[in-house]
Amino acid sequence: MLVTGGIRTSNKTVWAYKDDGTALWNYDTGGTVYGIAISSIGHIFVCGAAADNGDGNGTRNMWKLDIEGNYLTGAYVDSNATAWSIAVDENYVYVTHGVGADRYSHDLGSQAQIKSSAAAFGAINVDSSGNIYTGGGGTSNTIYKYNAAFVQQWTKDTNDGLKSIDFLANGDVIVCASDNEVRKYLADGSSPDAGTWAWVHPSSGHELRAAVDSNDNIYVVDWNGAAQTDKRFVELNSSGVLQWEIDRAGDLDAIVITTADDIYVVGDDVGDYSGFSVDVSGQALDDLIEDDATTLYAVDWTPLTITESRYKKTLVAISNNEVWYGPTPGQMAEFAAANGNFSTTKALAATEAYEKIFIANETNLKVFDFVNTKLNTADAGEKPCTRSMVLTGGTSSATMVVDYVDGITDNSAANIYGKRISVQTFSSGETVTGTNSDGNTVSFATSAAETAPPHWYNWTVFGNDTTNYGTMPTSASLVSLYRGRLVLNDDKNPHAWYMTAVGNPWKVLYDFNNDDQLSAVVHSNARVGIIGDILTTYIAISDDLFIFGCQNSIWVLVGDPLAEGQLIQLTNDTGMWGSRAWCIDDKNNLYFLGNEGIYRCSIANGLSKPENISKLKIPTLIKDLDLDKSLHRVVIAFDPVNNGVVITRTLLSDGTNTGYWLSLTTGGFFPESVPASCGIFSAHYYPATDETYKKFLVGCADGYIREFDNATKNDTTTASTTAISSYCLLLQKLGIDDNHRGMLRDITAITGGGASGGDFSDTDSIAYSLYKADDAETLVEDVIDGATAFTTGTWSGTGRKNKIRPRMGGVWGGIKLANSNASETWAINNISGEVIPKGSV
Amino acid sequence: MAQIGFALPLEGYSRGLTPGAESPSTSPYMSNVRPRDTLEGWIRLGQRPGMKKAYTQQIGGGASPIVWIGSVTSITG
Repeated sequence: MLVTGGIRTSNKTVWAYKDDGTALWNYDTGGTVYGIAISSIGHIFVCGAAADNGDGNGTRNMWKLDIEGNYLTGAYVDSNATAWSIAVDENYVYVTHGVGADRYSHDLGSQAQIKSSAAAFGAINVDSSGNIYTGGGGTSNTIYKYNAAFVQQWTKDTNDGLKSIDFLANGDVIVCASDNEVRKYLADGSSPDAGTWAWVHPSSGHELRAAVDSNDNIYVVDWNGAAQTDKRFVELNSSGVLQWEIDRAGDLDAIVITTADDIYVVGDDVGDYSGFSVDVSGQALDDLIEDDATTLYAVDWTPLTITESRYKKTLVAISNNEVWYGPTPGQMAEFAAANGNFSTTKALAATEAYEKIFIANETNLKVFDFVNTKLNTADAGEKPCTRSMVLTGGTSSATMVVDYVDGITDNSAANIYGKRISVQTFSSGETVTGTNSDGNTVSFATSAAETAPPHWYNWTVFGNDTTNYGTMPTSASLVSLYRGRLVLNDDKNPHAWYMTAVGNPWKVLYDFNNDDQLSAVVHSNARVGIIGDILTTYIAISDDLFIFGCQNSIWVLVGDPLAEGQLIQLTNDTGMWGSRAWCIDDKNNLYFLGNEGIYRCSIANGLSKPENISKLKIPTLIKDLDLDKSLHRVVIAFDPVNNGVVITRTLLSDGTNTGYWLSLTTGGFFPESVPASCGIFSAHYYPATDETYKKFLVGCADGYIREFDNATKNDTTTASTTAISSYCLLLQKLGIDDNHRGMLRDITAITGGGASGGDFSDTDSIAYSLYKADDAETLVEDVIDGATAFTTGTWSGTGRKNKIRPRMGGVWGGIKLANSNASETWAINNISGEVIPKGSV
Repeated sequence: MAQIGFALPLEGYSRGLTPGAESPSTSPYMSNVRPRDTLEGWIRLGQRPGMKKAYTQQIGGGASPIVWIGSVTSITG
């Protein structure tokens, strides 16, 4: 989405368009817009001439809009008339104005001065390390580099006011000043004032602005004001050498390059258009934004669409006592506050609930909170906060609905977590008040400004108030969400399960008087008089069924435990192995590792009795796996991309693994193994809002998140790749019965790919080995033991292969197909042959 | 002379019966093959897909297993 800004036309100054130029929305700041910068989550920061657009918020020269163009907040920078340029990173907003440059928080509330100046500042930008580049417009001719702490690194005399700043991949700076030049300055400040190099416009009086693409190509737009000739669009290489240029009528005032290196420019209307896309290969500008009455001075681009900004789905992964998450799509970063605060050597389970992740890690019960704003205070006050009360900031007028507090003791510190429902934000040192559920006035002073999510904290009862909210289990390793209740186990009482109050993860006290059927509850699964079975697995089936997998039985809770729900023993013929050894496919079939194999039961209409689906084909599965919970991790996960179930047993110590692919297309089990570093410890289908990242992911032994990729022919290990060793034995009876042999006279194979090249992808080579025996068992044993084959060869290339004529005689024949070559994969359509009788055995 | 076809084991692995008594659409000896190929996504015998890194970052900062992976939905707008 493109967002442009410029001269006030029809009472609008900010316009948003799809990338194809289709208009989306507009907004009126009341005055001319000179700068636009869009944050990674789609907030649009606008700067320009001071104006009051009559919306009741007064005069501003900075505005913050959401991705639909709705006003969020604004500011009046240093009471000066115009804010000239704006930039944004993950943490701050940077702006220039008539007397220098400032940095703001994203809510435009907290301001810090970067540089004060007697003359107006022009361009501003910030590099990937947080270094700030800015400097003079007008008569001030200096570019400054500051670090993130505002410590000056160097200055250069640019000979004229700054118009644009952008960066090469190595951090060196491309600068345009008003004196017809594009200059490069080295990031370390060692360039002379004139720059390491400079490209000079052939004519005088041109203001240039430049942007750099991902390959360090530099594109330059040209504004000349009064003159209407010799206005150029230019491409330079990273050494400042001209690649191509076009001469056009009409000024171009701003340029933006997208993450895909698409280039858009805006300026004066030319032939009814004021915005253009750049056709680099065709060396032309294509009409895009149609408006013959508008001059556009600013443009920025975001990959986000309007629907995507409403919510996000964040990937979270846990390894090595650290929690990592994806604050930006395609990237994972550590959440440092969690580091070492729990233990991945202990049993760990987690569940999503209420925009948080709740973690049960034995004695470490934790919350990773993505929704709440956090306030902290040194003194919780005489009257305690209660859940769902509204707090209001006495200075900021910010408001919040309380979700959780970790302390309610007068004269003691506390952290308050809640959903902020105002645009205003809480500031440091202000008095926050509200009325709690008892009708008492709550009042405390904030120790710092509010902190935006995410947060990491201990999962306790509300306010650590055990009297009114109960006592959490001291150690838990199972957790789930069912009908709005968080469900925990108790490692000290392994037959017992806890359910919190409905909608309240902070209350485990049974309190029917106050909470009625929504109360928390503790129970176990057993006949009266018998200690219940040990709990191993929790499975919530929407809000209707909850499955308790135990060591030797399976129980089902139908409905709510306090509202006429029923607890039923589904079976005592099998239990469930553990919390990662189950999955549900897209047809509502539940698969799990039970006591005697892989089981399946339908949950589409209630719950059917589990059926052992591996017993017939792999009767020795459990014996072969030789499972030991102290040694092995078992993962069973549904892969919707490839329509099957991954079943793996991984050695905890080194990732060595064995397993099966259960194809839901054909119903068969297919043995598989992967390199030890790729051994699977966890799995998740990530329903990202961006299709690029929507994948079936596995968490591996070496700390990398991987996917099964059809275009990848090897397995990518930690620092290298490993060829996939694949093989398959095809058996065929050659004789008319067990007492007669047949002679396999010839074989024809058709491998995948059709003609070589072409529209269908081509198989790589397939090695074949032929075996014969007078009984099938001997043949199979010969293959497994690596006996010498009757004959071997390789089918290379695609399509119908030349006949091979083995003239191999036996009661049974077998073909082993194989490939263990690096960077190869294969597929085969069919194998056929001709057999003639050979005589009696 | 008889024409024969070597059935491709699209029904996967099977060791429940003696070799030879099993369905010809199964195999008693196979590894890292699947019944849907990676070339065109057709139902035919082929090598399984390779594993590739979905993210460049190493979770936990070292060679330590990822013990849990999931996602959380939160409102931003």
